[in-house]
Amino acid sequence: MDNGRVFLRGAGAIFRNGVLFRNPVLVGALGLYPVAAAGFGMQNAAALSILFVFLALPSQLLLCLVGMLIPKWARPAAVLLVTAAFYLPAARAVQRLLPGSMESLGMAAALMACNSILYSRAEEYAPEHIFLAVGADALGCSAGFAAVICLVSALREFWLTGGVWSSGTPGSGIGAGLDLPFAGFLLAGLLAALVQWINIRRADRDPREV
Amino acid sequence: MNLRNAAPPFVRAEPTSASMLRTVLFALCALLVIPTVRYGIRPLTMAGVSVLTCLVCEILANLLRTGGFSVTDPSFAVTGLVLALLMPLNAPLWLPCASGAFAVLVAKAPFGSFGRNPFNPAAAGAAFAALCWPGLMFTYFDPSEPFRLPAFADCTFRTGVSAAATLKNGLKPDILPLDMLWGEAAGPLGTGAALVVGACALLLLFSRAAHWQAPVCFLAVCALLAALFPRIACSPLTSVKYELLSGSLLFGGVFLVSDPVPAPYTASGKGIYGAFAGAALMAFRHFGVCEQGAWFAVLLANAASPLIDRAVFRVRGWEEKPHG
Amino acid sequence: MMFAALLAVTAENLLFSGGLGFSRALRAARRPASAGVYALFVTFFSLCSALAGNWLAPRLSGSPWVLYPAALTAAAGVFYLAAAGLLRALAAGFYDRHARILAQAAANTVVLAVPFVQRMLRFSLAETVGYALGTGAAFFLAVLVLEEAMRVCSNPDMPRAFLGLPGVLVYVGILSMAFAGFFGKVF
Repeated sequence: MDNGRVFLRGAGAIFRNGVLFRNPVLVGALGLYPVAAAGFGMQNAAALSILFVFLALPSQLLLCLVGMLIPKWARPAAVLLVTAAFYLPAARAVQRLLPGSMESLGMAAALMACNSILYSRAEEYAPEHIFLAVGADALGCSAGFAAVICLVSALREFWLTGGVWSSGTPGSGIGAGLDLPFAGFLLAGLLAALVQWINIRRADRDPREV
Repeated sequence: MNLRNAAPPFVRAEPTSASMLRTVLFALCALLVIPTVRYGIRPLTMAGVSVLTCLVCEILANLLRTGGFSVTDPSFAVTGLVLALLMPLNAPLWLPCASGAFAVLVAKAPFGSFGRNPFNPAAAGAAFAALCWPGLMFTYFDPSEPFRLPAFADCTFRTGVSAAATLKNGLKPDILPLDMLWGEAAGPLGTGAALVVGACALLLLFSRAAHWQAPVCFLAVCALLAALFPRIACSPLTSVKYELLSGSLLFGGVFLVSDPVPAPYTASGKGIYGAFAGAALMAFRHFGVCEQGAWFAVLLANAASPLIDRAVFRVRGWEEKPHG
Repeated sequence: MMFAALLAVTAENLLFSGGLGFSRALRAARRPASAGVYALFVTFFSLCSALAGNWLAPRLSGSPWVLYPAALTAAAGVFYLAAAGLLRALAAGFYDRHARILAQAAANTVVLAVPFVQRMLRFSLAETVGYALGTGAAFFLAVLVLEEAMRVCSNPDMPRAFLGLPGVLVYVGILSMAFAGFFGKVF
């Protein structure tokens, strides 16, 4: 029972790190393409977030189980083949949940199969950690990615249309231009500064926390 | 006046950053005179709100960084004035404010105090405005209309087509190059009076507030490319005249390209930097989406500046900057 | 072909106009000594990806739309296996030194985006090859720029919250505005 609680607490810490303190986008500088180039509307953000979790969770869990059986030099290829295979049902599931989203995302959705967060966690983390930790990490990174892309998209969509989730009208927002990648980079930079400030405060309070 | 006896040699004091900024401010204020005489006090109110916004943002940034209110250098005023002069006079007053806030809070404050910004803040602010509100940035009132703009309120007006927009469409502007010397064409507030901009350039160069290499190479490359690749069917000389006098090319060469903070360290590096900015600007004019590309070209050149420094150091066999 | 290569570096720059491959370019900038080799690998895999896209597109034209991206990703895995296997057999020392970046180059979004760009801009095969070569050059340039950005963003005058990655993201955002001045929204 004690061991179970320790494991769960550890898994909780891994999940929290993935969402905020070690956010893969804002701290790890991974997965910036969808945030910068496609994260300008909440529907895009929702579709990419769901696609990410449907890709990340099964890929990482599978590689956790079989990763150590694959020679290290061949693991990158295995990751790509696994994510390619899981892309098919994941994309179909997203299309069913949010009809039309995959077509409107175009290349952004297609390239999620080789998303750098996904690749990095599946290749480096999953094969060398226990099942619970990998699951917590996959969910944490998914939540972290979703939080960033949804927040950035909400701000950009509000600027462009005056509303979020298609409640606004194109052209009736504050201005144009924020659907360009520069806005994604700038907003990600400001959010990354916020997370870094939080981590600095935590480190100043108690270095053991970080 | 107190006179001090000093022994020869009589050596002029090196310019300080404060003296350079004061000279630049003086030059920028000089560009407001003709528009104010022609169109009323709106140029002054535009410049005033822009500078005020930059000051408030500078104070806010200092508060967040150091907890103090003090602003120790007048660079915010330079940024505010440059932004106001790059806007159309008929633009709403919140436009230079929004650009000024972006320039100080995004392009300057995150990188530290004055002298640490890798990009020219005014160029970044103008680029932001051009991308977010292109309609407001590139719509000009017709200066041939006898029209005094209100000091603060927005206004309706007959629009005029700028020479830069006409050239972008591959047509020859109606206005003669000679008439463009005094700012009588539709265009941004402070970039039209080429003679005044030229006088400001001479002031900056002779007072050593700016180094000559970057602006001279910038203008030379722009002129060369305008002569070799004209956008309109005309003689090379006519193409050069129209390209140099239209848009914010001249203004950009004098006030943006000559900014010493993001520019390279060495003289030859400054020359290469100016030439690169000139080539980038002409590329933007030929292939870009906007009728004006001076601020985009300056941003590209700012990013290339450390690479130019590194290349020059390598050629000269220096490990790092000679003064550390 | 030269024009397509030039496009890859300038107006259609995948990294600064679209944000593709940025994470990898940033990692490469932390080890600038291997930037050249990284860019070579990116060029090689971009070429492979472009040729794979050219081969797969007509064959999958009647198939469900999800198949094309999945097939391209799988092809990238196969290309990596072949490249790694060959290097291990023929140049083991070189492979040991650069194994990490070989894998990252193969799984790079900028590499897998090349077939999509090819379709979007309707490139011929020669233009596609030129674009792939230009992508490698663009990646190398991006690494150089990011290396300088990281140096700028480590100065002690910066607010602590912006030191490092946050400052670099703001830096790249401002630079990306300049690229937006070329063609506006591209990808």
